[in-house]
Amino acid sequence: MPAIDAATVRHRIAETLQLPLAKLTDDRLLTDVVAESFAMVEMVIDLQEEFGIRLDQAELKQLKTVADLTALVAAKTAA
Amino acid sequence: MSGGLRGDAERWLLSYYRMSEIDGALFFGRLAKVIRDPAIQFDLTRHFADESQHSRWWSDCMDEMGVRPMKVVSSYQDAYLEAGGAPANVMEVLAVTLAFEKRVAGSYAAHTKVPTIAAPIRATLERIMKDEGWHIQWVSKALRAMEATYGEADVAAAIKRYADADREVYQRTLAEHDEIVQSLNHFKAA
Repeated sequence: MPAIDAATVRHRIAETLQLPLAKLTDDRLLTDVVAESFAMVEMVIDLQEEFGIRLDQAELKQLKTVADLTALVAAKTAA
Repeated sequence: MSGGLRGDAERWLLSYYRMSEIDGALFFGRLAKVIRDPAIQFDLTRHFADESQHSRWWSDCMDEMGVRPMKVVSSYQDAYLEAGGAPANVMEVLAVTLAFEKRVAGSYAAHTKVPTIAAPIRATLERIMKDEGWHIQWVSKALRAMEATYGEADVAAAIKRYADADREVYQRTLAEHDEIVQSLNHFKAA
């Protein structure tokens, strides 16, 4: 799969969780954007399925903001 | 001889079962929408439908016994995610599911051992336990298949992590279930 950019990741999150794109600003905390634990799991699994990457708990625990997540996914697709 | 409902404790228990099945359905429903592996998608969709059906059976059971579900604040799925960490990938989703399903099967089996259990409750437990056996079977098989992708050691570590989390959650929350089931043994048949 070709590398994807952060904007593409952001669009995918918005589509999967049916959130307005405007809510997914870089500095927003993930826990504010996705407060419900099941939705968080759905989002994380969907990103892996959509972009053909694999994430682990150590990586997820480092994530605080939307920018952290989009950057991680983008970096994984570029690897 | 079977009796009726043993007051609010048993009503709470049936409400808890119902709510847990609803939570399970919501969890698996979300995942069934996004997981693409055809075999896992197929079984997960059936699993989602089972959990939803089970919540209906608990509603039917309570209706038959003339009671309404109580408000149950939380069930143990969230506690699992807190104790073992949210599953980070599909393999970990299956690992947490395995731990959870084993605990559910054990809890339901313990309840069926109450000698004076009401007939509608026994029938519902036995009906659901048939599905629970299949749930454990398909998840175990899928985890074995994932050893080729994730590595045997990582799969074993995830299973152990969620089994440990299960024990922690059990001590904190599910022990209440056992206490209620044990208290039911002290009731005499009507």
